This record gives sequence, structure tokens and C-alpha cells, in this order.
Amino acid sequence: MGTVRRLLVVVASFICAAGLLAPLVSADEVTISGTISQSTSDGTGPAVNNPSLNSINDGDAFTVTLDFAGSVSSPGTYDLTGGTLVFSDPAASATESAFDAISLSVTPDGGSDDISLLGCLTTGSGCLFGNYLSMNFAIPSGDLNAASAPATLISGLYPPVDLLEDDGTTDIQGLVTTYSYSPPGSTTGNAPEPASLPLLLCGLSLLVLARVGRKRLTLPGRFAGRT
Amino acid sequence: MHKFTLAAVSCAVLLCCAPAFAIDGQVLINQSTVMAAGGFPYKITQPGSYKLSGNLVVPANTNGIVIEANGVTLDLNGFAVSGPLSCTGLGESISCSNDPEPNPTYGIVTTNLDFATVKNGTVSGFSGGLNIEGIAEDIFATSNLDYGISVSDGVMERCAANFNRDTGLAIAASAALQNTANFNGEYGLRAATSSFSSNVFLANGNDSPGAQILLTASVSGNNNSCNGSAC
Repeated sequence: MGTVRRLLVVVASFICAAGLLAPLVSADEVTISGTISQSTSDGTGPAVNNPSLNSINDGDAFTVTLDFAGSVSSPGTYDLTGGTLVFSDPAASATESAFDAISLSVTPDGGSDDISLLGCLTTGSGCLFGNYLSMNFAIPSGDLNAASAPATLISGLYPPVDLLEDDGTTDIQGLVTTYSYSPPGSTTGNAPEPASLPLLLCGLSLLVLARVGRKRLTLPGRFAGRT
Repeated sequence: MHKFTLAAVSCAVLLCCAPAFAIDGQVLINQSTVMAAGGFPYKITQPGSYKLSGNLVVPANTNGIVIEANGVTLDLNGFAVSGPLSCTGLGESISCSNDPEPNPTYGIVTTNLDFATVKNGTVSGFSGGLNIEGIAEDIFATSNLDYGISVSDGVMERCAANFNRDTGLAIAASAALQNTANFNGEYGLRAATSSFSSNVFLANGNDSPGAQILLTASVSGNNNSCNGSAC
């Protein structure tokens, strides 16, 4: 039993360390801020897959945060699948983070860079059938890695923010005002939250440990009372 | 302990596996999906129903959407496919910037005798706005260089082509019904081996009735209006 318990301790330690330390691994972060210009109160939706979106109101401030491994420092198309993408409206306590495929492209356009971001939702019938976050806006050339840059509309591409859910039934739209890029280690936003799955496994491991420990303490016979 | 393990595994599976299912439907296209797919031209290579969910802004020297499959229906959904050309003036005085010649560009084009239906939207800012084999319905084409809308081996219906530098509408081996072409630099309509009826042409080219339509090969027309007169 002692060997098993030691093994469990080692496994639990690894799982817990992974869960708690994973968010601290350095990653680049893009944060895009703006205001909501169309909400479900305007007749789109109601949101079913993510009911929290129904609390969003026109004029709310929102942020879209993209964390990813590697860096974006020059024009091109970047497949950032594996990163995390979070749409958040704090005033409405609404978030959306169920994205899997993520792509970011940067296209030079005169004195600016056109930014295009697509995040595919895992809900509904798939990305191409109206379940995605789509963003298109421009920033001044040279500000791709700036801590803060003004974001402007690309002529002809309105709205700059389009969050489609429920196979296109829910359509949250917004305007973009600010773009910011944070290299690894300089994240100034919210404290990172540990990933839920490692934390769950950590908790389960500790429970198993506790159970094994209790069984050992309550063994009958000649081992009773020897603790 | 066994029940506990089972419960733990179930929880992990539930957390890991998001719901995913697919149904038949229209494939949505917007600027972000195009850029994520590698940028312009956006190529449609499979039959099916496609729909714009936003405007497309196409950079210089490339086509917007290239249809490379039979059996494609593209609904522009009221949105626009815009190229970099911009034109000012009307009729013979139209002039355009950002001329891509000698390599013409198209807003939407079919290739290799692939037939498609394109409907309900705007194409502007290319050498040719819409150049397809098949059916064009409810398309508005403006500020294009050589022509607004060109249809071969199909039908052009309820379309409008205004303020294009050369020709508004062009048909070959096709029928044109209830279209309008006004204020284009040369002709309202160029037609070859086709029929056209109930169309309106106004103030194209030098504004004379004879300049509204250029007919070649065997063409028949009826109930059309050229500068207010039957033609």
C-alpha cells in the first residue's frame, strides 16, 4: 500500500503542478477593445448555445483576448489553433470562449495593416454555418506589436466585429477602438486562471489520495491502533 | 472506489468533448473566412449553396471569388464584393483609377465551363464585376472597367449595371430579362446569339439611341427601352 500511495503522490503532484503552472507559461497576447453596436435586444437571437450573450446591451464595452504560442510580428496568415480566444462583456457578465480553430491575418494596406481574425466556435453546426467570431479592422503600420494602437474601420467591411452563434441566429456586432499586443511576460490584464481540466484532475487525485489514506488508517486487525 | 473512478472518467469526458454535429446548410463567406482560408481569390471548388455574411474587400490585382465547380449557388445576401478600382463621372466621361490592365480582375468569375447561379448583391471595382456561365439575378454592378455583368450560356434577370467605364451588360448565348443599364461609358448592352426583352437603357455612351446596344451575331429583342424610346 505504501508504494501505491507514493506513486499516487507523485502523479498528483505532477497533475497539480501542470494545472497551476500551465497558465504561467509565456505566451503572446492580443487584446482588442471596443463597444457593442448590436445585441440580442435588437432582434437577433435569442442566444441559446450561450445564454449569457442575452445580457449584452448596445454600448457595452467588450474585449477580445487572444493568447497564443509564438509571435505575430509581420504580415501573413497565422494559424493560431491551440491558443485561447475569449470574448468578454464585463458589464453583462457575458463571455464566449468555446473556440477551436483560430486564424489571424495581417495584410499591408497603404499606411495601415488590415487585421482579420476568425475564431470558430465548437457549438452549433460548425464554423462555416454561422458559428464564429469574425473581426476586421485596421491599425497604423508599425503598430502590430504596439502596447496600444487605435483601431479603425476598413472601408467596406462593416461591422468590424461579428459574433455569430446558433447557426447564425444570434448576431452580436461591435465596433473596435483599441488594439494592443503584449509579448510574453508583460501581460497586464487579468490574473491568469488555471485551466479547468488540470484543476479537476488535481482535485480528483487529491480525493483519491485522501481515500487511500483513510483506508490505510482504518485497516483492521494487527495494524489497528498503530498510527 | 470503482464507482468513484467511473464518475471521474465521465466528468473528464464531458469536459473534454464539446458537442459537434453537422447539418446541411449554406456555407457562409466573409472577409475573415476568406483570409483564414489563405486570402483572395476565394475559390469555391465544391457544389453547394454559399452565402455572404459580410462585405468582401478585395485587394489589387486579384479576383474576388472564383467558382471552380458546377452546381454552385452563391447568394451575396445583399452584401458587396468590392475591388480597388474607383470610377468617377458618367457616360462617356467616366474615368477609373487603379486600372489592372493587362491582367484583368473579376469580382466573381466561373472557370472551365462551370455553371453557377449568383444573386442578390453588388460587385464593383474590377475589370469585370461579374463574369459567369449560368444565371445572374438581382445583381448591381458599378464602377467596373470593361463591363459590369457578363453572362454566357445562361440568364441575366433583374440586374442593374450603372456607371461602368465601358459596357454595362454583356450576354452571349443567353437571355436578358428586365435589366437596366444606365450611364455606362460605351454600351448599355452588348449581345451575341442571344435574346433580350423588357430591358431599359439610358444615357450610355454618347447618349444617342444607337449607342445603347451593340448587337452582334443573331440577336432578337422586344419591348426594350433606349433613352425612352422603343428599341
